Amino acid sequence: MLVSIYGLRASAIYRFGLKLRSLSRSPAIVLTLPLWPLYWIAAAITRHGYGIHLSLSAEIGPGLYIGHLGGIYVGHCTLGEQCSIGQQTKIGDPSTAKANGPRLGSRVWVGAHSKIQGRVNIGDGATIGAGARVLADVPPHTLVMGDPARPINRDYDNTSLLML
Amino acid sequence: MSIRQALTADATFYRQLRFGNRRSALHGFVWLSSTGLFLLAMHRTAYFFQRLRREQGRRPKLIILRVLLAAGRPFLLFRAKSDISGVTKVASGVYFSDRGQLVIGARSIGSGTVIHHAVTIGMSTMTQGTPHIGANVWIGPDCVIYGNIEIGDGATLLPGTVLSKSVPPRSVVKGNPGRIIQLDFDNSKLRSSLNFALDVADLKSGD
Repeated sequence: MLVSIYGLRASAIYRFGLKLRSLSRSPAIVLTLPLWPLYWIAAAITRHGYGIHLSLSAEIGPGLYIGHLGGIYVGHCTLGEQCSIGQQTKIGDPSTAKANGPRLGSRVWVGAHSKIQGRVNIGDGATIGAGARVLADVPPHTLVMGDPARPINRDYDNTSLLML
Repeated sequence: MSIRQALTADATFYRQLRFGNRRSALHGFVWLSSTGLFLLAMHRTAYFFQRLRREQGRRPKLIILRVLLAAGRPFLLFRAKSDISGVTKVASGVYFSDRGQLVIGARSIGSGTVIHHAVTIGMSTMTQGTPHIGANVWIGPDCVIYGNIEIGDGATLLPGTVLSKSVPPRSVVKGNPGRIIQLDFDNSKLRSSLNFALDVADLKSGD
């Protein structure tokens, strides 16, 4: 199964962009100048071809897993390590600053078609069900579903999901 | 039904939806311009491969088919941003949106069904099992349908529905969580055009 090869590509391009940006702040800026167009082209291809938009304004921890492709926007937010993002999810808003954006902990499983916008804190190990619209903070290990998202299970172990 | 017959039925259905079955729509043009039809063709080929493997434990002898499928898949991912599971049984005469973004892992999809863009049909982690979509169903954009459920024939799922329970035939479902808002609704007029911007008010006017 060709699972998430495109997700890996999108993550790799994102990390490449982050690396370029951190290099730009050091004396090695001369090196980065010819590489930026490479990043821009790769990022544009991922965005329009796969529909996965990982903006450099987002701070994404290691181990991001993107299950399916299409309609993903991650920007102006903070993600912990080993998070999992489903298709058609929108995390963060291009119009708000990162300080006012969502903050996800580690091992958060964001279901398909979810929207997480605004200043929400999502605890470690939380699970956002499919189609949820998160407007309030989500405590750790909670399963929320619905629009607006309501907690369904306060002690939901999502490790089996993350291994899918 | 052979793949060619099924695809002819699909193309006819598509032409009816997009051009109102005017004879002026050239066969070739329809196939080149429609991402949905290309998606269906790729899926039917992939399903044929899966069936061969299940029933006879072999891959198709015709190498060209395997090459076409392998080459077509990345192109399809890019063009349609869709992922249709190889085991989904799609009846002939189904419409998949030209705008793509479909992630479909249903058990089966009935004939005459119209599926718009950004629809996810999949497995639920709590109840293993995938949906069975009946015939003549209208699924609006941005829907999520999951679980071991049955969508009855002629049902209508308004845009943005998140559904995890079975619905009876000819019902109208809306919202997240999906709730049945009307029973016994005839969606043939809905399924005769590509218009998908719908809400409850349009239903009342009999459209």
